[in-house]
Amino acid sequence: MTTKMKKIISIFLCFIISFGIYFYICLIVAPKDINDSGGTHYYRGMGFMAEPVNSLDVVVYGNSDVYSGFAPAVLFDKYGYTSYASGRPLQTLNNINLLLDKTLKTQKPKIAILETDCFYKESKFQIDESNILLSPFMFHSRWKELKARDFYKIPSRKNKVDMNKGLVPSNKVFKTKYSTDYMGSKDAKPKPMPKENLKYVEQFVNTCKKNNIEVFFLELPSASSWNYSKHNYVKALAEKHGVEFIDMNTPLDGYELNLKTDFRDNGNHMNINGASKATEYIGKYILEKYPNLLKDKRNDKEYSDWHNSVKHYNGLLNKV
Amino acid sequence: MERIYKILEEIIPNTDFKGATNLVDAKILTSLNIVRLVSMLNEEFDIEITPIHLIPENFNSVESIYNLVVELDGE
Amino acid sequence: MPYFMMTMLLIFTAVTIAIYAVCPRRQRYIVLLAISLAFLCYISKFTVVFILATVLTTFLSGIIMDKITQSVDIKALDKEVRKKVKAKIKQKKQIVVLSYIVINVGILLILKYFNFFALTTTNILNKFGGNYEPFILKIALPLGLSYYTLQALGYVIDVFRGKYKAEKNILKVGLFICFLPQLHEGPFGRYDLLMPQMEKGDNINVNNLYNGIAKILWGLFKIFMVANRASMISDAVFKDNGKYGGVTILLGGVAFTVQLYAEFSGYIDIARGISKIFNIELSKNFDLPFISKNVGEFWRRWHISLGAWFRDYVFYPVSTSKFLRKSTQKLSFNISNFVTITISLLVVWFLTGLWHGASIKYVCYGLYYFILMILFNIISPYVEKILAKNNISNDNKILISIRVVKTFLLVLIGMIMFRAENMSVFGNMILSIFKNGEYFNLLKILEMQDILALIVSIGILILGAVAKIKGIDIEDKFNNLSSIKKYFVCFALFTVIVVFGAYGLDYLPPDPIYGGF
Repeated sequence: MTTKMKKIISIFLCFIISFGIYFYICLIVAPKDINDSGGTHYYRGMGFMAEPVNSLDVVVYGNSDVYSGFAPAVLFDKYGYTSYASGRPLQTLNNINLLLDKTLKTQKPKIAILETDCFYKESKFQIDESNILLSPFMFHSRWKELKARDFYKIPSRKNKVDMNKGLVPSNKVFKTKYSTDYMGSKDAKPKPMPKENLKYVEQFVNTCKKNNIEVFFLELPSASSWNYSKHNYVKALAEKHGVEFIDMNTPLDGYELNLKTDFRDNGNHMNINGASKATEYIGKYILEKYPNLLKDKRNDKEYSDWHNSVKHYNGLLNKV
Repeated sequence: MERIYKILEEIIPNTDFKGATNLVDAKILTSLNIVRLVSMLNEEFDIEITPIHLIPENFNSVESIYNLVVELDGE
Repeated sequence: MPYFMMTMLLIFTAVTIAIYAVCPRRQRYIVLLAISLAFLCYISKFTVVFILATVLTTFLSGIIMDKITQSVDIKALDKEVRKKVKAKIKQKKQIVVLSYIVINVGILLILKYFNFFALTTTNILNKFGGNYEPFILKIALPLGLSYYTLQALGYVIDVFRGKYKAEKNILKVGLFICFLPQLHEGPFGRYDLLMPQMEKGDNINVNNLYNGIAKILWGLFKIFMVANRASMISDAVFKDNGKYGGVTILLGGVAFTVQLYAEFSGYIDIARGISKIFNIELSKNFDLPFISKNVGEFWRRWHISLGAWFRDYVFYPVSTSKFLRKSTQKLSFNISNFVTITISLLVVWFLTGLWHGASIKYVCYGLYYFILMILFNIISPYVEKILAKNNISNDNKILISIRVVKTFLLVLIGMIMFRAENMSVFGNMILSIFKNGEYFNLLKILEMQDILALIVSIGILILGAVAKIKGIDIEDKFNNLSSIKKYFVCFALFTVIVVFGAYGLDYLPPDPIYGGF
């Protein structure tokens, strides 16, 4: 009996010790700062978690198009709406759903915008990157840049408020080689997206409806990845779900894309020039479509921090 | 038995075959050597060694080679 | 193996362990078979029918040949008649084996080599003024096609030779052919060695479990710590092969050699580890190949099970065949022997080359080793004589080192050929070794920390090899540790791989070189 007990206790101890060591390693390699590698994933895509509870009006979900082309500072500056650009490189729809669930834990946004560029990205494993136990896998190149502080600081999203509210500002200007007809023929045959993604779109829309969140689809300007055959398909899908679809690649009233000044690369990602214009248009659209839904918070003292963001952003804008 | 020693001596000179029990496993007899050995044995004893007999156990020692030859000769 | 497949393999293994453990002993082999088939269906989809066809034909051929043998009671006949009857039986069995080969090698040829032949013939036809579109088959290869076809063929030939009786249980034949761990990259197993272990259904015990897990982790260590990093260097060099010269080419070649060894032997370690958990010992595939003193020895230490297969089922039958014997009869013994060996080696190396892949490059790769072997056969007696004259013993340390380095350089050339896109690229690369090329900045490909990690891990591999040469059996030492120590050794290995391993977005996905064959 005693030997058996001893055995059980030693097995138990082994587990505890190894788990403890592993957990400590997880803490070490987890990014501590937005500038650490993996920090963009860890803090920026989920940066809304650091925002004060129930402070966001609008959250935009999507891939790199979102963090390049949607500037929350502009939306606040012009309309007084608080928003967050939750974009990640090569984002997939199932991971967006995960982010939406996370958003709802601390925020009650009135409007959720789904950027449609990621609709054609096949969804792979759904991995919760915020799970600390997975951090050695998720941030596997972190061991190369460890600093002393990584060994005692605990990773925390609190007090990691992103000045840019998710935007990765770039003031680079790239003259794209595209001409204005990059969208192709208007009656192009709709290009179906991966079947599984249909399910995830539906899930996203349903979650929003359940939580009384207004939804609309948005395609930010992207000369290299968007065309009418994708547009026509997404348009039909939006109608099916009864949501609006704004495609900023198509002619719109009060918005005009400039292919020479609005991009930071060859027609895929916008710079802050393009982002300002696009965001302003989106704000105008929201104001017209939902006139009484959102409050202008520019004079609200609780949101005075946002003016710093605006200042910071305008500082960048002047450098273009 | 003596004839086998002679053949082996011709194929791989300067090796002590007498006490050896792992000619194949120690890679003294490689597959090339085995093929030479087999054709010489076939010639010398007028037997037919086929691939089925070419397993390490039959070639690891001079004794086992001898046994193989005797066995095939009887058929 | 893509990450995905490797993850699935490990998950399937975990599931197998759970089901295997609760299943009664005598049915355990069925568990192994069922899981293997499930994995195959999952990965290969409909192409699994090809492997099933091989299982069925293998099983039937064995049974039919046994029936033919048993149809006559040979011992009851007298000597004269006996010989005739025997010949007749052999003839009948030969028909079975031949039709088996036609079907199964046929599947292999069509699936793997059809496009190669189609392209080559249309190219030739077009050179003579024709204008044909090559007819290309678009079928995914079933997992492990080149491996299981040869392994099953070995079984049928053994039954034909009467080495052992045919298996009467089709499930066991199926397990022998489809056994999950060795399906993807071998090693080639022999029926008479594997089946007794497979059907026994031994309990999983702590020792085997730790031993297996340690082997799996060691394999992962080789792949993620060494191979994936070395591959980034070799890929960079071979991708822009026209740019570089001199030492850079050699560096690329060495990096590829290291990569191939670490990766291939790593996968084999994983396969052996998984099998070990079920107390099944797979055959050894690597035995310190880089201490070989000649190329022949290298191939007895590298991909051992492939070499052994070709030795037993191609080299021996060809070299002892009646046809060769008769046609060389009139020559003097030494010459006839030389001709026999040369022809047999030619067949072996041509097939070995072709087995590696359907392209002219791989055939050349095989023939390269054929030429080296023949040269060695011709030259080595003279070298021995010279050495004997000068009283230099074969145990002389300097001589051994020279030979090891020489062999490594020859192997290195073979490796460059293996990795180069085609023969003209290979030719240019070999020539540019003697030229100066563009400056190669290693730090652009790997960060300093990665280079350090690579060097340290290669150092660990070398330490292991040195220990083995000195006669220290690390595996034995590990087995003698207490369970707690074993646990922490495995845990440490696991942690090192997880934290420092080269995987994920910043690195290339592991793409097994030997997996597509």
